[in-house]
Amino acid sequence: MMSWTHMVVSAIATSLILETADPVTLTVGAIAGLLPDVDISTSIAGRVLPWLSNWLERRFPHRSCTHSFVASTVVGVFAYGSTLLTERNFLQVAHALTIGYFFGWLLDMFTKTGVEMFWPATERYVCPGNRKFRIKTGSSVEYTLLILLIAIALLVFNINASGGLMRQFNRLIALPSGVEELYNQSGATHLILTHIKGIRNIDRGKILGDFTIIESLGESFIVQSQEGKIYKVGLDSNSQIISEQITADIGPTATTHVETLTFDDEELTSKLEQFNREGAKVFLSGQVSIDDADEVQYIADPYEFPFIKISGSSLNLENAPLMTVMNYFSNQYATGQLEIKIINIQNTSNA
Amino acid sequence: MAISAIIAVNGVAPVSFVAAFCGGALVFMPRTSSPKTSTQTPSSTNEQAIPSEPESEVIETPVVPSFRLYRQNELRRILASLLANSSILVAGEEGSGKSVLANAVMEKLKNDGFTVAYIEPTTPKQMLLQIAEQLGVETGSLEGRTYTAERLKIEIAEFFQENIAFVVIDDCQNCDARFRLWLKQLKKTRALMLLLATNPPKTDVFSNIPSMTLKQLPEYAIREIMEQAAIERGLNLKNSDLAQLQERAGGNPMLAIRAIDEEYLGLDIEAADHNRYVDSSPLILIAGVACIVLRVLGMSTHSHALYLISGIGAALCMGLSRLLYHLPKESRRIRR
Repeated sequence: MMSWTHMVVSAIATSLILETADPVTLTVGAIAGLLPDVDISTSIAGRVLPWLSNWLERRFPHRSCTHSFVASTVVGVFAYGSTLLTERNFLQVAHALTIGYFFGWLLDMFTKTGVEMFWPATERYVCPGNRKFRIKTGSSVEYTLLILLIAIALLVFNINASGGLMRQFNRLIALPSGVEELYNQSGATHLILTHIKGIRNIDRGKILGDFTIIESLGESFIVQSQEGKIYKVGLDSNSQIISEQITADIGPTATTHVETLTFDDEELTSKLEQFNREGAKVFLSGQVSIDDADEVQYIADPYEFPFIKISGSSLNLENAPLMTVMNYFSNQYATGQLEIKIINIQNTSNA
Repeated sequence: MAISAIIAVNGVAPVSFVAAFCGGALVFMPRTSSPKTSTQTPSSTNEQAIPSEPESEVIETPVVPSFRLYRQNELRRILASLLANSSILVAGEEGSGKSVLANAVMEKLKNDGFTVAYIEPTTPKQMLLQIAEQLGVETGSLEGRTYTAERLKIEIAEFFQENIAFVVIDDCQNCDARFRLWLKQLKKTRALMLLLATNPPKTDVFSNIPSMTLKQLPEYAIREIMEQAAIERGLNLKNSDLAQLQERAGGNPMLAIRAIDEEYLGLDIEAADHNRYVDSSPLILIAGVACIVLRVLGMSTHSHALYLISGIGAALCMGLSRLLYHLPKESRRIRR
């Protein structure tokens, strides 16, 4: 096999197994793919390590001892051994070295002459058994294969650079489970933006847009549109948006924390005022009783999630935006407990 | 949707990809000079080879027919067996060095003063005549008529009743069945035979006498044989060339010399004819099975990533192994 083929295959294997697109790791993997050919002084590895290659080529046939599980073990022991000595700073590099080396010689199994896989046993392992279908080094078949491999490499690196295979797969199948997985993975540190294609439950109108996840309710989500409206997205009948396709992306860095506020016949606004800051999304949940329910002017938007429910003097909130509560219940005195969820968005990164 | 998803992933990737391959390209820089040197080697060796000018240091000793027998253990064992009144069959693949070994055995026996008859398969009558002549048995009547085959058989059998002598039969698998049956009967007299056969069947005389098989020669022996062959042909081969040619020898001295011959003639050959090739397609099946096991593990631990990746791996490996299974078998004939 040509050096390029070795490098591309080892880089693909490294990228797939380690699920990484880190250039350093991939380069180490690719270079490690060239190392098995150190048993011949005309190869790249042989020219870099002339002493070793001269020693080996005087004693062994090409593709024998360096193309075996024994050699792979030696490389593994060397790689992980030196990692242990350097306080495990290079674990990823050690992985890449071992994987790259292994796939470097394994690929030669498909050549005409095969490899002595179980060296010191001298059987040469080939695949397939019929030599007519094996690959001749530098042949047009190998160049075709190389082009194919480069295409696969581009795809694999791309997938791994943008969050790994699972995220791309979730994006492809566009099911709520994939969004939930991403939300569970990165929801603590980042805002999760969803792209939803679906229909409005109330009038079957088409919905297509980007929303921010506020809360996950199993298979459905409470999301906020860019206009600040709150919806429940899911497949069940009490959702405002019935999703057909839902995919998620990691948004700007954001931290979420929850506090409990206790009201003992206190004015709502005075206590909530402090949370009204720029760059924070604040939502209230819980039940309080208000003193003057008759004065409340609030009318719920039927298209939206019913985040505010009033029955008698009791005010039920579920992910109600702070501003809405402050607008409509500014001069109310409340008694009870509210849970306040604050999502602080850092504007340093813009996705 | 699928296409849009793939297009949509173009984020950080191109940067890292380019970086990875820039690193790769640096490694490739010295490569540019290599194809010239590597293509020069075979042609230049060939040009040197035909006029055979001993100008370089490797060909300092051009005419050294320093023959060395690497199968000393086998030689000792065969001699011991023959001298202990037991015939022996030496089996081995083509070119494994049976004839060379037989010559060494004969030389040793003759030096020790024994009578040795050596034959190669021809017609039964001819073979019987050759044996009789070499053993010094009468082959014809006083009137000058040669005996019939039946008479020769009796004469030879009688000879062995009274004398100690050895019969060496090379390529014995090519003798016809009736001749081999006679050999089996001859064994009942005190005839001592060294039979040499390429992959003999487990029948008649072959199953009747103890046999030993010749193993492949160790790599150092093959390398020395190749170096010797190269010197004899005036080829100046570097260690790297020898290492690559040795891949085609597979522990078989005949193939080792053939590889040197092919290099001498400038033939572009990569695969060899030795019997060391093992089809590793079952390993792909094993990898597929391992993927299925992982998939079950992924399923039971609700690890979507493991489930998905091992599923893809299993499908690819099983499909590939099925495909390999259906590929036509290799032709036993010499053709492209």
